[in-house]
Amino acid sequence: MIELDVLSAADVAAAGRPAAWRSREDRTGAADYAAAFRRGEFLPGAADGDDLAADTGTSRRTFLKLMGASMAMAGLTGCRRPVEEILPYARKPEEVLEGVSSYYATAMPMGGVVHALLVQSHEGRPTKVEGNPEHPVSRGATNVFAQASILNLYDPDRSRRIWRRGGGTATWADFVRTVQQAGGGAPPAAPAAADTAATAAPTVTATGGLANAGLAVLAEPTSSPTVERLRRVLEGRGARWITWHPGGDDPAALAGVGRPLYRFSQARVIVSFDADFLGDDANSVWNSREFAASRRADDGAPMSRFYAVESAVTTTGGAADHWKHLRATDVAHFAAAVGQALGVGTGSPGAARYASDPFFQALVEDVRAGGGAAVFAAGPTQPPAVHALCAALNGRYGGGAVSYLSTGAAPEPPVGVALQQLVADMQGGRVQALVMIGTNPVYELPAGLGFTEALGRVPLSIHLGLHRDETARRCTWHLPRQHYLEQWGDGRAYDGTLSVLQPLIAPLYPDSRSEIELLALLATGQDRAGYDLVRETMGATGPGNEDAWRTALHDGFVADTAFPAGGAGGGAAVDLSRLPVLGEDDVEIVFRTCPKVYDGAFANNAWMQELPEPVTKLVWDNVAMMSRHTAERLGVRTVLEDGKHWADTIRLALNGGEATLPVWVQPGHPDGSISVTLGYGREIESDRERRGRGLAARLFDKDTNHYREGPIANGVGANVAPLRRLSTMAVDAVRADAIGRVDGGYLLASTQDHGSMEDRAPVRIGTLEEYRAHPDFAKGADRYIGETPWEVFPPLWGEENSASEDPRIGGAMYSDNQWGMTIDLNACTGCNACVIACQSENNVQIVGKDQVARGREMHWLRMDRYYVGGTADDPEQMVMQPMFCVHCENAPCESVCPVYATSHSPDGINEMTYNRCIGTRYCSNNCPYKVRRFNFYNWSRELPAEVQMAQNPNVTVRFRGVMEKCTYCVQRVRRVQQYAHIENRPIRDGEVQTACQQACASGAIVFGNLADASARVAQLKRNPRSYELLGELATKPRTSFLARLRNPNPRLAPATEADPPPQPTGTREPTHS
Amino acid sequence: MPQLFPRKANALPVLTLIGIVGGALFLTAFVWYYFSPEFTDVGYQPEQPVPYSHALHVGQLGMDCRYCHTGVEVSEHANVPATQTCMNCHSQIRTQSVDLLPVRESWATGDPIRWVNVHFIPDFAQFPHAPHVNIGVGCETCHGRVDRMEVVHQTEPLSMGWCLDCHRSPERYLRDPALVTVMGYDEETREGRARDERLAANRTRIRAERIEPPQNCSACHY
Repeated sequence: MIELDVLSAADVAAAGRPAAWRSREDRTGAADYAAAFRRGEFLPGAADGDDLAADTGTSRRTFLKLMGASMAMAGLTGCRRPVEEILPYARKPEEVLEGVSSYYATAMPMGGVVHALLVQSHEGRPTKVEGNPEHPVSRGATNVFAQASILNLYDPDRSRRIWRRGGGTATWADFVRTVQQAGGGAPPAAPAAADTAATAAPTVTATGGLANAGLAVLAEPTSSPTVERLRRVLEGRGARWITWHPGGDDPAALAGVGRPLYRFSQARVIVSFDADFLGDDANSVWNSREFAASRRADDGAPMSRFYAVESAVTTTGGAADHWKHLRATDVAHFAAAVGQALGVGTGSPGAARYASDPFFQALVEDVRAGGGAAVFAAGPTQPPAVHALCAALNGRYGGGAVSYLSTGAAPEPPVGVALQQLVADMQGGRVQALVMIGTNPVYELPAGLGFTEALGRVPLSIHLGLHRDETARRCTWHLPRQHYLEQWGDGRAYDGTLSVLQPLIAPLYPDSRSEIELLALLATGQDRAGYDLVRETMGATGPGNEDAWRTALHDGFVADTAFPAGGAGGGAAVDLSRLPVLGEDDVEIVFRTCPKVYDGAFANNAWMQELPEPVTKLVWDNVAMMSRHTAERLGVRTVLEDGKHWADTIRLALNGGEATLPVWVQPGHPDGSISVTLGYGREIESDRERRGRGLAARLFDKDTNHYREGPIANGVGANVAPLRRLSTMAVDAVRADAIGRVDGGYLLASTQDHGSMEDRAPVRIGTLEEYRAHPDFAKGADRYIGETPWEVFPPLWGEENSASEDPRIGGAMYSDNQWGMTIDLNACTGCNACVIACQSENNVQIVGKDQVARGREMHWLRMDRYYVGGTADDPEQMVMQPMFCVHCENAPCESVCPVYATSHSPDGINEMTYNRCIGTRYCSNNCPYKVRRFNFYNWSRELPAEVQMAQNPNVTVRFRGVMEKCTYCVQRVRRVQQYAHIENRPIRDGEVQTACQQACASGAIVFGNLADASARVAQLKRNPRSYELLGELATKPRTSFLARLRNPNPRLAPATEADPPPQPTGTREPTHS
Repeated sequence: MPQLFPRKANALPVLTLIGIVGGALFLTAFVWYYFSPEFTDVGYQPEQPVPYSHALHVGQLGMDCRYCHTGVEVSEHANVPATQTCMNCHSQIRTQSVDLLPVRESWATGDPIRWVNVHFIPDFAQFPHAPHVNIGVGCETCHGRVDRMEVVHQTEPLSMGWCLDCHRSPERYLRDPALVTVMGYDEETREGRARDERLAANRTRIRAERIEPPQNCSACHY
């Protein structure tokens, strides 16, 4: 028997490489950590059913009694054949073919831009969102929000009808009448009205709309030309329009520098001042692609060097070669110091202290060295002056790699001032009608503003939204809004490319309306269809004639409509002398939109709630994230016990708001700062009918319906939005003694330690220098396996799989294709889009917080996050590793299945046959990658009908007691194979795309046929960086990884890395025993 | 002491043994057949909302299957036709028929006719019609002599073993793709020279076109 050396953490350390670790406890080697995560195949509690007994309290006697009865009943029902009906169309729409899905181009508006999409529709039911492959920004990829947005359409708690305060339900016709009466109806004849001349009621307008000085609109940011057009009509009559962005002001817009479009692929040096351009940026898809291009060092291509200065721990910072953690206020001073040293800005009061910082010196020297462009990016936590500084720096050092687009939008005043004025007018009765479009001010405006009280004084308040939310309940009218997949509309992508939104499905709730239909009613008094409004706008500005319109609908965008690039700054020196200074004793609070639920728009989206946050890997919660030092200073901590995180909670009280949050100690977080995320603590009201449960179900079946208690967003986390300061929404500070510990023992569910790799070296990292010298540095013990000729491993499926007993007839049908995959760790940013894409494509169910804490999450694709090097409080880097079934050729899971439920297909897919599985879980035990997921309960049986509509009809919805895992999207593979077979042609490279590959913006995942040497995946397998994870186990995984590269500045490299790398440890001769 | 058991009791153990073995065999055989789709599913003939006769339309009038089941060559489903398809003719023919009342109702209201599914395949098995029809698996092979059915019933068990019969020996079931909708072809080539010719032709075709029906699990289960 051959026993191979395992590349262990000790070997990695001996090789002078930084170790990869998963959490503080992993790094420090806490005793509890080994006990909980390194012993046994499952987490403590994962395999126990103890909660079942606790939930029901059933005695043995009752159990037997009822079991007997239900067995008898089950026996009887078994005799009846289930009657299934087929309902064909009465009038069949043209081009619809049952069973053949069609794709339509549309776009998702979010945060003031649209994301161009291609949406899959099954007989008029959209199920899967993809990027538009022809669109210049998307190129077929999407961000995580677009992937999850399909579930927002099928959110069972969406508002279904129109509500009128006092009057209960009303119809759209009632609302139209109300508006027409208010605007074009009878003048205020009552004498009492004359007393309040200042508060003139809306007067008759020429066209009968509702608009005069008494009308205010509080709208979400939008790029829709139709909305702009209607806005101008309303503003022309004196209405006021306030754009409310969930994060507060857009500092780049306040700085007046235009919208930055980064071409990182042209950059030699990239500097981020708290800019999470790969994460929460509106243009993250474009940025990820560009950034990945700048890091592709293969075949001697140049590689950028990325310096990140951050006030939080983001995936962007984790991708950096050099990572510095400062409080957001200090980041601005650091930027000022950089600007001063590079001669484009004045210094700031706090800049001097960085002069001797080696990081600072190296950065400045690197930019000055020339030989390529340097790109500077500033984030939303930074004041406008820093954005202006970045524009100036890009102007001088950017070499054209950054263009600033002129969006043509009129500059908006700071939103705080506008809101204060609005609330004052509302209080004073000077606002007759307030219209809220896509905003939820009661929930998300600072408490100090007093908006909620003022809202009660507005005679006509109209809320248009997807949910009957916090604001809707306090308004005189609530109108259900159409989801973007139900409406006609238009909008511009980040680069300005014009897109048309076309509905994929008729509105689920007939009373719902789109924002343009509402605005048209307000502006003109006429009830008009969205389609006509969009056509009207297009007629004036874009594709007017029928041909051009149809082309725009088909393509999803109008070519060559991008914004023109304005000139970057770079003239006068930017004045940064007035930047605020934060005392060392102050604790900074930084507010960010959540990478999962955004500003709360995705809070009722179960996929997003259960999605592990990219860095903390937390689910179903928002936390106060801080460094260990800060936590110690505040006297709070998190404890790891039994594989679960138990956190203390703290109370934050500032600006009139208050929130209690659990503490999360985050490695790499700057001291003296607390990061919090928006979007939690929702109070949505839903009038959905909730089905009760039968007696037998209540006694024996765990309640697995997460929708039963009502909207799932309710009661998850705490709302921190009211804590914000009106002037600078993103950053505030508080004295440390104002933060009090409330309680302990709050359970946090984090998946960061789940699926432990038992101290092996799952991610392999090298420096650029090392790569140039030893291109195959990443190969470990798997080299031995990798160099073994293919024939040594005989095909698992030989002649026996022939088409017939006749031995003269052929081999196995699918054996021409040998599927495989590569994942480039150098390109992956950990944005999570693939996780949700997989969930959407493969009907992966959610399990809830308690079950995730037990390690029972169902995600087929998990995103492992490793910290690299450094100390437990300050890692040097972060590496993301998408981990899912690697489809071993010699799969350990297959050999232990007693019922042959998992087996191998002739095309190399490790197949999972649900209807054969009896749930022994041996396969999961034997899987070294820990990628198999078991249905401990029946997660799908009681899904609301709406959520059932989101399921992919081409993938089986799994039952309790069944194992499942990544299938390489076999449903897509088979579909293509079937049609290629009908057309009698080979499958083209790239014709089969897995869902994760399709969603990936940075092109990290490549799938294809290994038997075709010219296929992209086969080429990548020959890349010297390619390595097989746990390849030393001779599993021969079909998915291999490409090692991560760093490009550190030699000035900053630690001594250990400067040494020439010794021979890779895995090349030792295998020992025979 | 008198003997407790009479002499003839000596046969008891043997009888018991025979009883147990026989009983077990009987039970196995019973379950084998009576619990199988061959018994439970074959012959399933639910009442349909419209007394549509395939025997009349296909058998007597000679309509092609694909006149109504339009998607069968390109889609996984052999779709049940829209009411519109019925009305192509029945807006002219037998416009007053009582039997056709549900069709006219559906046409007037736009509500679908609620047909009852006869050929039921569980959700965990994916069966696409298009590849089968295009390669030359006749409609008749799985659905039987539809041209003789007044009311459609299931003629084959549609069980996995039945699927694999053909996937293992396609030469016994394939036919010229141009003849997929022909009824009675299987009966004509059941024996004798016609059978041998069919098998020989199919073997040649299978080799030339590499027709190798998959037998791995994920070919149908995913």
